[in-house]
Amino acid sequence: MSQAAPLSIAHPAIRRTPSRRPARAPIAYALLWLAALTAVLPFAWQFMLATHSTSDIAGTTPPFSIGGDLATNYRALMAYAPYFWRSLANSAVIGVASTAVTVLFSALGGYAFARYDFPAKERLFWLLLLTMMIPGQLGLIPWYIQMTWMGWTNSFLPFVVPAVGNAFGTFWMRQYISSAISPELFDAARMDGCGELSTFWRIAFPLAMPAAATLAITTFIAGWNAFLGPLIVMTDPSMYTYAVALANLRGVHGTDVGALLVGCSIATIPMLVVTIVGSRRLIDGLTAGSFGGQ
Amino acid sequence: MTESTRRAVWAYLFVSPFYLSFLAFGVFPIGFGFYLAFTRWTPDTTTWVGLANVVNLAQDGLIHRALYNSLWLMGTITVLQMGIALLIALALSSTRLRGRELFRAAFFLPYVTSPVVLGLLWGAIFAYTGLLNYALGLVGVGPVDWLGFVTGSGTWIKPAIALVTIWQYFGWNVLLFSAGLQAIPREIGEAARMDGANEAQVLRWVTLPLLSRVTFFIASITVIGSMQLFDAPLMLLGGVAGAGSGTLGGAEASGLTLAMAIYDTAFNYGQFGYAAAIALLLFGLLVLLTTGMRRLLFREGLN
Repeated sequence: MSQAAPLSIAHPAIRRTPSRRPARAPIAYALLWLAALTAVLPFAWQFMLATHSTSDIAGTTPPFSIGGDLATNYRALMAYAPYFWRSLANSAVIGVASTAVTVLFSALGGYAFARYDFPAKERLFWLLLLTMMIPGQLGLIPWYIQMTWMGWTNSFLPFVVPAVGNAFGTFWMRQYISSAISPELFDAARMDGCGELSTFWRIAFPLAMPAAATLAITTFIAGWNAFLGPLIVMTDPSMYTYAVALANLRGVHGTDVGALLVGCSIATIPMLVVTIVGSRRLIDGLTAGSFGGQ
Repeated sequence: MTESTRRAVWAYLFVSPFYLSFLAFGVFPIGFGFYLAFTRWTPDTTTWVGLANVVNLAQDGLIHRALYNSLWLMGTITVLQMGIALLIALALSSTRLRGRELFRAAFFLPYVTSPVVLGLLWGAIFAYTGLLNYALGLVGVGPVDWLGFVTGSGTWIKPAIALVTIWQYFGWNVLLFSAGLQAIPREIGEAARMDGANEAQVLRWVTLPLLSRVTFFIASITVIGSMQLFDAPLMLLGGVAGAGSGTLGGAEASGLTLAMAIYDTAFNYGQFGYAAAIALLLFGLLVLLTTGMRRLLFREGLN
């Protein structure tokens, strides 16, 4: 849901003038704390439950402290899904590869839209915006059939090659390059005999890093969490992503909840790190960009 | 070759990977999907069946159920999630607040976590002897059979799915509303107060109208997202193991969404053409909903 529509609210400098209004602090704090705890506590609950046996978890009073069954649960997880670490690596491969491809080609296309004049440019850009509105479900069935025709099942290709055509990424990079990088820089580079490709690679791409970083984090999160696509094209367990591996552990009856939650906990840790390390720049980048501000 | 032609050629070279990939993996599947919806498709043969899939769609009680479920979830989630998020965003925007970054990071965490993990985790919380029923028991309510595994009743399945989804995405909406609120110059509100407007009036007549673009954006992504729920309800209600057994949507198919129906129809029953027809129905609904919303939000000519 991180796709941004081309909205254009001007983003005036945030005013820091002191307000004479009394701050509605107590109610605001109460609400914010309630919301923050609601957002975070289920994760704490997940880590705690991962240390309990399934029968403890299913007891009439749920456990409220750290238990001693983490090692047992972990061994059970490895017995049910020997490929679990492999599936985490697969998710990482999809995340990293799709991110590299998306960022590179989005920057290239965005640069062309920002800095060149060419016939049918407006119409092509309009088409690009239109593609961001098409929901993914529409193409799911034909996409699957196409992948089987191309022999791309049980491979990373379905998640890496189409990343070349990331409409949101191209739009995103275009917005940044056209508004945040001075055109004089490109002209100067050309005067100095820089070719078209090296102007992009040596000037535009490094300068577009702030926008590229935001795009990279969101693309990585989507790739790391990939589920429905891998669920239908990966039939070989050694090619599962972690989400598919976990989904397969969930039975209608008789699920080993303890083992499952160990798996969930392991898979949550990278996102926990991303949030703690990158949330500020990611949130600022995403929300500012969503409304066309810089 | 003139300089401008030369530069245009480079520009085409730079944008061509996007359009080639988009043709191959965007336009082609969608065009093919429209065609598939009027066929009976198997890996070996494709039979043109005309409107047979559409006729089936009109008579298929299970799909009507899924349609109802998806619309119910879409309405409930959009209204509650945006209401809650706006309230929290207003709290977050109050002056002299400490720990704003901490709150924002906390709200962001569920949003970046895989819906598969969240569905599994909340499955444990919603369990008959789980945390939620325990907490409700402390205040003398329940137990509630949230997921319908005990009583076979699907009454609480949709509220449970809505709860997980709102919990996952409210923080993202808070962050978007916050960005929108920050873009409103404080002076406009001050001026209204000088003229004697109270806080509620400022909110209704100044803040909300100025937020309408942001609101439209959030409403769009929320409607589009909540119409396509798949991972979390699938995990809450039994995972992929339940697929093909008719239990994918939980008790009384109360948690069967259109996206789950598409998946089940194609990959467990092998009816690819029919699944493509359901996808077409979903697509048509999304187009209707988003254009309708645009009319509704911008009818006063605010933008």
